[in-house]
Amino acid sequence: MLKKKMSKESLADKLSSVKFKEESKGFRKKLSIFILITLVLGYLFLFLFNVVVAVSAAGIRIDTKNFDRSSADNETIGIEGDIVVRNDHWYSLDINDLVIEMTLYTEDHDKVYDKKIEKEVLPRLKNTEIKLDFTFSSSDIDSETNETFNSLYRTDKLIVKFEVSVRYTIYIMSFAVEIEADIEE
Amino acid sequence: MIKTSKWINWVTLFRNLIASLIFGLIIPYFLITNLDPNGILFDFNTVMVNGVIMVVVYTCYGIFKKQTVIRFLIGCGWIVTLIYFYTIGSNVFTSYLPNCGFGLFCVDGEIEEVKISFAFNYAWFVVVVLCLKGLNLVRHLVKPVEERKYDYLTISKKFEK
Repeated sequence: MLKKKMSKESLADKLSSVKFKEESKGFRKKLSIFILITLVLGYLFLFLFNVVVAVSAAGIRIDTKNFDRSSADNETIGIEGDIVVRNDHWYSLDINDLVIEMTLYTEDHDKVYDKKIEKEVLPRLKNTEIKLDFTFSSSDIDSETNETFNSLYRTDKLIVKFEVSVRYTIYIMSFAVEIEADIEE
Repeated sequence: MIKTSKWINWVTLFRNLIASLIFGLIIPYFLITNLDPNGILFDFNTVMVNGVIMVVVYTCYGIFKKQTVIRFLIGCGWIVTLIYFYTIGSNVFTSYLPNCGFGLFCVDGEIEEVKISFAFNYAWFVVVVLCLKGLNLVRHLVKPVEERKYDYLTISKKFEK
């Protein structure tokens, strides 16, 4: 019984406070001040960093331009056009590693074909036009879905999903926008 | 017998209870019921469950005095809870962001009949915040507390009396 009580007391003693040596008081005070300064600078850096990146990213606009069917024969289906990344605002930053993924769907939203385009650097204070050439033949699609190719060839309506991801390498930050749009001939 | 008066800081206990009730339950309740009653952006049930978790854990975090081992351990638990919030989301400590992964903000919607989904990866930010919180926890552990100069402890002692 006494033993149990003793062990309880020792647990209480262990948990109630940290027993540092009295001589370490000066060192602990300096360490806590150093950590406090690190914390203040860290939170300040975090705040300013986010303000700069958020403001520069908010000014970026991505538009599509001159999208149309490109193929002239019976064997291929093609869509071509430009994507314009507007990064010309004065508070802009260089964009690194822009990835555009185009995916073609049937009217029943079945995935048919996709293509990825990568651009490494998009300089600040400039509008950059990225040419997209999205051409595919029946051999690019599974043989079982040949019927799908024919129906896609005949249809007036193509559903294309764009997935755009932009990364600021310096800022270790990325975001992705996924747009689903109907493109009529 | 365990003397709880050695451990408990009544001021931080009530401060944390009130703060977590306000920021974890009351503000989210009024924000969601007024701004997003149909639950387009926020899942009301998730927010409320997260709010209750936050009230419980953050209140526990405030029970014990600084420079105690148990407070340090609960502080470690609090950081684990924050990791949960930054993964599940929709809580005050994730700025009410609807998360779909660790430090990953996701929103789906429709603008002019065009489906748009937006994802924003802020995992690096979460890691930095968690590291800073961990540093603060260590600071509370090592900082020499001079009780006479420390207002919270003085007030807490008056409560105990």
